[in-house]
Amino acid sequence: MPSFVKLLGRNQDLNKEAAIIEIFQEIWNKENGELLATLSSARELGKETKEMVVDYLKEKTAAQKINLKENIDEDLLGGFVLRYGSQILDGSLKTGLLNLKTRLEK
Amino acid sequence: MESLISVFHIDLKLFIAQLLNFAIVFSVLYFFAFKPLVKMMTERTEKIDKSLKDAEEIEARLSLTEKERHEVISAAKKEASLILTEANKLGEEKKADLIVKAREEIGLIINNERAKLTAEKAATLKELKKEVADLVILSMEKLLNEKMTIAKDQDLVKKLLK
Repeated sequence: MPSFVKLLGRNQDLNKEAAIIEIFQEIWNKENGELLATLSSARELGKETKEMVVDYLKEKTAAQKINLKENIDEDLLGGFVLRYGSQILDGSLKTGLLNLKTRLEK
Repeated sequence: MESLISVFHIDLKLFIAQLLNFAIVFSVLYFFAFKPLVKMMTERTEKIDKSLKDAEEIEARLSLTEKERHEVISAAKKEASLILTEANKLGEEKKADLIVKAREEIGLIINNERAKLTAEKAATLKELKKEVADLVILSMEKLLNEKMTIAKDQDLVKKLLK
């Protein structure tokens, strides 16, 4: 590990640290059949709902283990926003209202 | 002859003297009065003839000049009429051009105003739509904040995942 940091320093790539860690995480998760996902919702969704989300992700990505991070965002009003890999599944009421607003303004 | 002389008591010498006298008087009158008078009369006649001829010539010239004047006036009138016709024609053309230009300008102004009105209408409509949309969204946000419960939210998520 120290030699990898030295290599980054030699190549002047230390500022790319965050991206490198992210990509490493992705590769690690892929290799080990893991998936990191973030679930944002307006309020606590409960165990049953979270399990549904995990099952959904397993079905969609074929990952064996799902590391689900939860985030409460009251601005979402309802529904959820699910981020995994490079995907975003936005089922929030806030986004629904914004879409409705865009359509009304046309 | 002698009887005739005696009848009329003619003195031959006197007669001859009178004849001579007459010849002298006649000669004097002829050379000093009649001849200059005839000469003067001839000259006067020639002068009058010349004057008459000159007058005729002047009259002829005057007549010619009058004719020329008439011709010049006639030509000038003709030219003036032509110029007037041309000027009228040009004036009519100019007038027609001006009318066409004025119509075009009016058309342009009307089109610009129409475009402006359409743009204003569109802008107003857009603003109105935005305001209505803002109002609807605000109302819905308020309604959702009031009515949304954990159970309803969980139901919604489940529905979305299915």
